[in-house]
Amino acid sequence: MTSENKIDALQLCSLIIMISLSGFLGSGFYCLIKAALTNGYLSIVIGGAIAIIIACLLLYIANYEIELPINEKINKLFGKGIGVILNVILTILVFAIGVFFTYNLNNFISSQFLSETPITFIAIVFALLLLYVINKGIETLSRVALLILVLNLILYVIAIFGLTPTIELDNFLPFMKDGLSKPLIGSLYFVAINIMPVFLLLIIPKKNIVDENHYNKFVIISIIISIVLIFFIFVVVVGNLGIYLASSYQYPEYIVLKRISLFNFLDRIENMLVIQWIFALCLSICIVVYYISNTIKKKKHNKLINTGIILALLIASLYSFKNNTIFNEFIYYYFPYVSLTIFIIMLLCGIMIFIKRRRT
Amino acid sequence: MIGNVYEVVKKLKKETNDLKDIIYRKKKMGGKDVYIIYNEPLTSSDKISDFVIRSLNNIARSRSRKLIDLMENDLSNYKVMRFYDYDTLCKYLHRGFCIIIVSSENVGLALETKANINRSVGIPDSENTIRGPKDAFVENYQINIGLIKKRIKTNDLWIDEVNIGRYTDTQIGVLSINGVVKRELVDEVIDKLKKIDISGIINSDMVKNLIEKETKCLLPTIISTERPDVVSNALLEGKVAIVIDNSPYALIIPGLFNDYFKTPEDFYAKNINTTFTRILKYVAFFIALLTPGIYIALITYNQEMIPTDLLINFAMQREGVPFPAFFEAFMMMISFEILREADLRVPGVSGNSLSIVGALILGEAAVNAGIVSPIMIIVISITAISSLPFTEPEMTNGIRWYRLLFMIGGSFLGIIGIVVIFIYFITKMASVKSFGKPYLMPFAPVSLVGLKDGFVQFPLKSNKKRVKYLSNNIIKQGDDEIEKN
Amino acid sequence: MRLKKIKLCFLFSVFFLSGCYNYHELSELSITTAIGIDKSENGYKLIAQVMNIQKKNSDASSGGNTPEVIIYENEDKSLLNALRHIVLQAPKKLYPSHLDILLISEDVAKEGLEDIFEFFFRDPNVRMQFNVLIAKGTTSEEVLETLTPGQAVSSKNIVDSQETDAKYLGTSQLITFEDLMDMYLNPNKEIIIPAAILNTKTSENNSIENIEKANDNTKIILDSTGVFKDSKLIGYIDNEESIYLNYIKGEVLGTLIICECDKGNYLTSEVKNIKSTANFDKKEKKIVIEVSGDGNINEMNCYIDVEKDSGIEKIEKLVNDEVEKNINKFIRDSISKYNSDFFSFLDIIYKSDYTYYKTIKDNWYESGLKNLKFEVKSKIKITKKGNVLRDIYDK
Repeated sequence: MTSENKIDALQLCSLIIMISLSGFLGSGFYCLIKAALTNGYLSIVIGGAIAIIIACLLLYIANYEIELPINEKINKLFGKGIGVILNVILTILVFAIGVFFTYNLNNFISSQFLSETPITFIAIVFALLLLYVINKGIETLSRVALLILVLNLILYVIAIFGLTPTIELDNFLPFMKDGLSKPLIGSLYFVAINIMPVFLLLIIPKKNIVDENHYNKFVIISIIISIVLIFFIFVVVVGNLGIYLASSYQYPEYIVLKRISLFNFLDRIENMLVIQWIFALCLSICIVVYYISNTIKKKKHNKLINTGIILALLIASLYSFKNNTIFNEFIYYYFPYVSLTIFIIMLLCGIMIFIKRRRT
Repeated sequence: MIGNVYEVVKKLKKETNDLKDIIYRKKKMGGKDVYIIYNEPLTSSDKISDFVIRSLNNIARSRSRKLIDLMENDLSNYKVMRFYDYDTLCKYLHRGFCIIIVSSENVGLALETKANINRSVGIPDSENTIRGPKDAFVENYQINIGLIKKRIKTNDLWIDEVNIGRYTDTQIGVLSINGVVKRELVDEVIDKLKKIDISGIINSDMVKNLIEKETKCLLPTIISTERPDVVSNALLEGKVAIVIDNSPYALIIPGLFNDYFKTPEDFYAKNINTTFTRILKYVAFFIALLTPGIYIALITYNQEMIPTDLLINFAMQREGVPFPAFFEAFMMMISFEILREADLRVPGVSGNSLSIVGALILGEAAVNAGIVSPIMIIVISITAISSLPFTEPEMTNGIRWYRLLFMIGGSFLGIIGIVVIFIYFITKMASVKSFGKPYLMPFAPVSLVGLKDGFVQFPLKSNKKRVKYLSNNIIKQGDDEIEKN
Repeated sequence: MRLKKIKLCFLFSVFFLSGCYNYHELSELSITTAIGIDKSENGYKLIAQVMNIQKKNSDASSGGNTPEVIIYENEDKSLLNALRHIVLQAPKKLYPSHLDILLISEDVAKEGLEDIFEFFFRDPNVRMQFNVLIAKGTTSEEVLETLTPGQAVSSKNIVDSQETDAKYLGTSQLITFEDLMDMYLNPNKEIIIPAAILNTKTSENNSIENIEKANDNTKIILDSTGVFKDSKLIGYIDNEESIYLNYIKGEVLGTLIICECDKGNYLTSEVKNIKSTANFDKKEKKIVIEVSGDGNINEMNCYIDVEKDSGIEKIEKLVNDEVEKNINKFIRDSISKYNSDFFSFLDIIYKSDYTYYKTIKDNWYESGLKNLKFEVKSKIKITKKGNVLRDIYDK
């Protein structure tokens, strides 16, 4: 199990793209629109620049001691005591990210597809499925991620292709009516919700990745690709729906797909095209569970730990938010602090590595 | 102690219950008793009369050398082996050798005199090609090996032999090309074969079932073929072939997902045409897997995905049908499977009328009686036709189970159920390893070299390398530096 | 092994218990193609037009024309209650995902549309791509009950007529429910909805005889556009003026322009590929409407020498003058008559010049709209002359 966890660089890229896309459904979009209104695309561009800087920081941390995953690196850098505290904080924050993703998935499916089924059943079905996927190990998970990335890209291209002819550029005016402050705040939201969870992949030590020389290049390229993908999604959604409609729905990405009419006869394909979000969310939840189970690792009983974590996520996601509005408000006001804490911890790690390297 | 020939003969007669087919020919040569023992159905009487017994008459006798050495030197048989104990005597006897034992000598001779009770090399009947060699394996080990050796003429074709089966003592040969294959794979295969302890091996598929890993994946992981050119191509790629006596099917290890979509003709035709048929096969695979499930999901859960006119048609068709959609689909699947099975087993004479009756049952009559709706017939026919273009019947059988799973998923949660089962299916396929090589090999751990023969096929000239997972000797064409391992 | 069995049992039980809530056989659903909303004493009256599935079960030879659609109606204070209570009459649940049109009667429109919006907006089953129409001068019940000869389902008749009209004549816009919501939520736009009237020739318009005679039957005709202010209906603009409204909104694809070239003689030109935009000129603070397109001479009842360039220029000038004159007149008349900004000029100002918008938006209706300056520029080119080389009047 441990010596066989070899992952390709390309599979790592697909995992990065999946994690950054999955935060965007629903709440991520809501935060961006609430902060920046029609100038969200500017905040994505600015956020992209910030994201590359953060990616360089994460790469710097990843390149130090390439055999250890992140939790052991923290133990090594800060010593046993502070290391344990930092690890516990990180685990709790990652659990919060997991609850965010799980609630998003369950709510999406229950409100748009199966509106009459109790949400508990849908949550249980998905929990069982994800338990099965996680128990197969990280190698299988990354292969699945690569295959699903290909599928997602095909569906994505069809969706963009079908929606671009009906974009009205009017919907993006007036241009920066309130100055640059709002797009800047929007970019911070973008980074917090979409880019920060990518740090979850630091749990995979760099030694386990085949093709070590291309690691840096691939990571930066995949983050740029995911920024470009999100940019086009935003442009297409706001261009088609207009800002007023896009801010009234919980899931505007799904609603906009109802407008596609390809070649004049393929009319009702929104259910097929929206599967890409479900795939991305499922994979992200699997990565969260993998992170937590690797941090709490005991010698054996790995499968029991996975079951426990999935159960905890399930119960937390079902009972923590009463309805959508509270969820959206929570994400808007409190989630940036989660990402900020993670960022500070990463920054501290980076500084400690820099000091240690200076010393030797 | 085979020197005591009378004891040997008595023991042999007792153990075989004095079988009349085992002939004991006694000769006196040079004052010693010589017994010639052979198994009449397995040996060719001409060879024994001509080459063995007549030569024995002409052996010059001399005092300075032992009789056995003289015999071994002067017998005109083409293959002579020595043996030293009773068990080996029995083994050789049952393989069709002619045994010569001399009293008070501890060495015996076994001469190869096998009869030809095989059919001749014929046309393959389950894997057809339009252009390509048309010889197929037969049930004889030597002939099969010969058919392969005819194509790969090099010293590097190494064959490791194993015998398994307590009562059948079947001869199994593991072929590999030294310098191309990875030694660990061959060692692993031989290890697994040696661990088999079973009363008898009758066909190669029994070996397949015994050495396949318990992965609970219903899709096949070992290829079985009856064409020597397929085996030769696979050997050149770095795979291992197993040839089993008495079986016209050879096994190729490892069998990856992509290999079941290839036909033997892939490199004989133009690459664009092969690309077309291969993409067609992939499309047929997914149609056969997903169509009934998606139909059930659309009709019962996600009716908003169907265009309005089509929905009105469906509603009219389903108006009088008493059964729910899942039950109807299930019933039609079962009747189609029964029809297919009956088609295979019924002898040719009465086959035609039965298939006509079957088609009638599934077709007009059922619709007119109001048991099924016409659209269900179309769905099932499309599914059935799409599951046929695979050369390996294990593939078709495996698809059947996953199709059922998709139908169950679709009938419980609609399109979301299909998505859930799809993720499960992909995960299961991605976790299967066929002898250490990942099952979805050119696709999931991406290998650019493997992709040249994956979905689309690149022309033969640009297919210059071998896949790294299978072989360290990468260069196939052009100037190269061959590294032997 | 025991753990595996427990897991398997759990899995099966979950699958068997879940999801069947959303299971709807096709025979349980009645496909609703049109919904109409009328006013009644209790509140709202909901009329649903449902496809009749039973029809084709019988053979084609068994004679008679049974109607393709069935109409259900119900009254209640709230719309959802009315919809749900229809189940007391109909054997199946109404299934709104395949709605084609929504008809709102005049009375309801005059009182305000907010209640209707809430109902359709929140339901996840409803796809909002259906068209919205106003039933003018009649109730939606009568419109939906009319059987149309062109197509079996009258709602599809209306939708197809709208689509063909949008391509070739340009009088009505295709307003889907989503567009309607966008106009409602946008504080700078006012709502416009196309209207349909019934052209009754005989007194019985919902019987079988309606289809049996070729001309002597009731037709549903698209006519005029309803204009709103604060989501209340205030009036109608007729067909001609609707074309000019569509010029301003940039939604005309092709239309006919008729201008008078001599006394009593008219020249008709079919214009295609029309691109019309309305922009706000920041320097001069006025709305500029530009129209351009390719014109064809279809009918010419007076003598102009079309072989010379001067003749073509004369025709172009006639056509362009006609367009400019009509649009100017239309805007002035509508502003003085209705005082409602259904052209969405405020929205245009908002999007191009935010600072000016802030000064003007507070008393838009009192002074801003009335003092708005605008200019129409029309640059239609005549490119083809039809089949004939010269004018038949030239003898």
